[in-house]
Amino acid sequence: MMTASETAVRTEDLYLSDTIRYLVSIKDDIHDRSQIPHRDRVYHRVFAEHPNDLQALKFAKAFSAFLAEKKIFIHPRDILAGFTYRYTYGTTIPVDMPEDYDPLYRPPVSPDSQREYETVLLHHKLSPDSKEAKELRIFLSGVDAWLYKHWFSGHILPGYDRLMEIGFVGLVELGEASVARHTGVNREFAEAMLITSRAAVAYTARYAALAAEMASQAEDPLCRRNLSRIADSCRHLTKGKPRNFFDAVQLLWLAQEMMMVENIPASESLGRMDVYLAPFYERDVQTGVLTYNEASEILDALWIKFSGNLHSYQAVTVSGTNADGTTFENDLTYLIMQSTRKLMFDQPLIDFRYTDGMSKRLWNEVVALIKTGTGFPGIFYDPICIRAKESTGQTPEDARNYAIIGCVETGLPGHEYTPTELVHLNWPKLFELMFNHGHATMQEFCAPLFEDKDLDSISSFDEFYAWFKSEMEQFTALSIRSIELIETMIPWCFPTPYLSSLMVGCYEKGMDVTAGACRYNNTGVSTCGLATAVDSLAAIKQVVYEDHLMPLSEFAKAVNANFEGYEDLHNIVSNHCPKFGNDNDAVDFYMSDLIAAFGRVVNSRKNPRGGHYMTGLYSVEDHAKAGMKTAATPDGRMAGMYESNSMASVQGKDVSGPTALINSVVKTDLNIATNGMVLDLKFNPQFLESPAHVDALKMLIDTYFHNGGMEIQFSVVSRETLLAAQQEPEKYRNLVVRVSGFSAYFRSLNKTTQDEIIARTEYQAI
Amino acid sequence: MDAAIPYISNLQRFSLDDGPGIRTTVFLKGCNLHCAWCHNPECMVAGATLQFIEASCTACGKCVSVCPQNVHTITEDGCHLLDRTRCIACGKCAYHCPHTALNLIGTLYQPEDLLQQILKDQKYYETSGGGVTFSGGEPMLHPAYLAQMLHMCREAGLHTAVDTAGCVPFSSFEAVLPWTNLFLYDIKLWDEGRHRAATGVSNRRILENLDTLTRAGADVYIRTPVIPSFNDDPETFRQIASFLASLPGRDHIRLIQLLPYHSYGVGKYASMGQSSRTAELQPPPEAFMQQALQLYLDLDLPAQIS
Repeated sequence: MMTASETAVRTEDLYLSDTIRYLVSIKDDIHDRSQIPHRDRVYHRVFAEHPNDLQALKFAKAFSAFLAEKKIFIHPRDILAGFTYRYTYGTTIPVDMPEDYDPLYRPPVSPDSQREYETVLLHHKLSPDSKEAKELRIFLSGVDAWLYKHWFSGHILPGYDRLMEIGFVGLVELGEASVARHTGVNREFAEAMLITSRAAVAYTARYAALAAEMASQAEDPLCRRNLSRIADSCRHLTKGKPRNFFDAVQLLWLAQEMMMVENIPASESLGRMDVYLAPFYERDVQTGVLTYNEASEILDALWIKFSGNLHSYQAVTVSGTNADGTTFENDLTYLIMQSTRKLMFDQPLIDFRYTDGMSKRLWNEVVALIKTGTGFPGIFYDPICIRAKESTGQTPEDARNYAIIGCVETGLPGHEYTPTELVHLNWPKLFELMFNHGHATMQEFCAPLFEDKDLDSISSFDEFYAWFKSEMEQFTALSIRSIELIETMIPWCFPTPYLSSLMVGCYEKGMDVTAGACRYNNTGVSTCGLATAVDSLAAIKQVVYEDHLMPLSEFAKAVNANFEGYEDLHNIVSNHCPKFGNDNDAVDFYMSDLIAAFGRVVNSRKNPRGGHYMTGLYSVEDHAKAGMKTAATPDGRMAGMYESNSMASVQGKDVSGPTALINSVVKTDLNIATNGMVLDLKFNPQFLESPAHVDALKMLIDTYFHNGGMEIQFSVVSRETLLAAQQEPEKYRNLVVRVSGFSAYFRSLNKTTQDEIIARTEYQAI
Repeated sequence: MDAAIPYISNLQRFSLDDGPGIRTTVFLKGCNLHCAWCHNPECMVAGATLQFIEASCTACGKCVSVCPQNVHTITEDGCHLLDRTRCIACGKCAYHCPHTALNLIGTLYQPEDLLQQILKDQKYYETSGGGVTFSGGEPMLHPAYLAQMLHMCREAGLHTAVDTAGCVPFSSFEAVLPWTNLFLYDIKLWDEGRHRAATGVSNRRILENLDTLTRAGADVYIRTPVIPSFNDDPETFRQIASFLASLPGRDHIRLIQLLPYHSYGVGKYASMGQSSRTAELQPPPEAFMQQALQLYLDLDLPAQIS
């Protein structure tokens, strides 16, 4: 057993160069807003120039044209070339995003359901009167009404590991061979990819030239040295594969920067960075051309690049199980966690693969990061994550190499294309529909129930429960049928040739990645508001069917009235009905039973790319957003209030402590969560001051994982700090907090999300 | 025959500071000491008691309408007053309070039910080397129930601890001794007069019992809260340390914990309708804690600041 006396080095003792300190101080002031709408303008222009091209060719040519003409910029004191933030993406997928947003904040993006609907009908040549079109209409109106959350673009794990081995030049060679080998439409897809690979080389050359020019004019020797290194590296990367650690990191950033040109910055994930950078790092250290601190500075500079995209879920995965069962760790595993510990940015996300055999030193490094309160790292238990991957048909070798996509989803970097966020079903919204013959009460929306019932005809709770379960299953199945129509449309309407060029199998088959070219092709189908729904069922059971306080129709009336005039009922359902998260078998049963039912529906068919639908038990930030659009629920939650987060209890209702919450959670078979799950525990910062408590935390995690837990994460910011940050955001500009499967600057969150985080139960030392 | 059942104020799961590992601490109500600094004032009396958290109260008056004893009054300016002398702890107001400002503290558990609750975290105890701790109040005021619970816990394979101030007949210790792995034993002051003034009782029996207990071979952790103005003088700690060092059973003192005063309990007093005698106190300075600790270490006693 580990003792807390072996604590990691203090954060203030970690190396932070003057250059990095300076770059951090100016990083928010160097955004060039002119490029935000520029990207869409170029895409529109190029599309108009090539009206008859295959869509993939249009996208590739637009990508190439934009990279050729966009502004590039290197700060004279920078260590790496490149910088980025979001563009607008009006042409890429059906989204609405204003052109005038502030890049320092997260842009408001919403799906453009009408455009998506029309595109699908046009592509599949469907009549609006067809059964499919009618269902799609329900699905997409349901997206607008937040019965569903639906998102695509991003959520990818590009093959950066292969890119490190061959460089952009290697991609061009693959592309030329692919074009020569294929005919027909496959050849066109290959040509599209090749255009992007050549564009990547050309874009790198632009940076090489700019850096060389700036270096020749630089007076400060340090600036000149750094600029020359950039120039040399970029020049080399236009000719060959990376030679050393610096080349590899520079290449990685340029590849990621270009990814933002094609894909909305949502979960463009980095994979197992400590694994694929290791050969470069180790060789450089062995040959004496790189020190630990020099590597640290280069990674810090990379982190500053990542930080340009707030709230963008760029996930870096560290550690994990080796083929022989030992734990992977190297200096980079530490350097990566230390960069985040020092810089405290919301990007990149740090995800830690937890193994039973890890060293004490490694765990101490994790604890040091937890103590920062940033919510990093997300902690994933390797055996269960690997088992989940194997259950979707992956070989043990592939399953072992998983990395995190975005929040908590897993994939095989470069070999798996899994849009993980295609749908979340908002469970609590179902009560609203069931109480009102399919009509929403907070917006104009009607979804025909699969079985409409007179509420007072329901004679037992079992009957009500069966009805809820059946509607949940049917609305899930409906969404799967709709996203099938959408997924099969995407390669032909919204392809991603640049991403495809990086994914193994696309050049090889002459196919876009979205068409199913990779080895693994899964699709995420997830949930939202689980405990809110479960507590609602428990409340209905007790009030209507056990205590007979009122008939179900009267209860529904109270809920529809947002409990106005029903204060006694509100008190009973809020405070005197059993709640999920307190180790109460009677209520926890509904969670495990409903999730199993959901999982059966999700697993009941293959997706159109021959892959699996995968069950997700996490809710990103949607439990807050969906809550704002969801009427009151039978558990006492008021209309418009946030819902429960992922697998957690309703906020503040887990009154029996963390062991009880964990016991409740592991009653559900989490092996089913092939698209990931989240369990967030919030501790008062004082809690981790005691070494005994740090030891206990490890034992808590061990017990959780050994009894079926998959993921856990810790929020360690006091309620007082959060309240103060809400009052005076300017004073807490750099406060990073755990939201759900990710962390973000507190000030960048909407108020409902902020309130939700504040309302979570805070465990402390008693 | 089953023992009389005491009221339990709280089952604290994931309890980390009442013995080794992850534990569940069971707080039994009722105490025969009245320490000025008590941080569990809700456990001072044995019966069920009403807790009122003023900060959560909106003066809605629901309690006024449901109370059969007219305990509650809402004044014209929105002040909620309680006449606790009338309260029969029926719990009606607590049930109907929409803001959980009123809570009835005190639940009766049949031994089997309590055991079932305790066993819920058995796997955490096993991973961490933890177990169950009975605290209070003074759990030793209920020796028959306590012995029955300890016996059942031990039968279930749990590590058992009893947190006591030790001011009970030694026969009570004899009742629980066979089923108790560890005693958390409070020594609060050395001087008898000051002990009486601070806690309401003499400490002679407490010290005698500790001597007998350790000679009987029971493992103990000694716990001494360090309370400014009550016992924060070096002489007190010198005397306690030399007493502990002189005990024939001193080898059974596995750990000595010096606990710096904290004010977390102060807020509870108002909610129980009592006033705190230590509301103004600050935690003792670190320098004094170190000085006190050194007095123990000088005598090779296994002391630490907790």
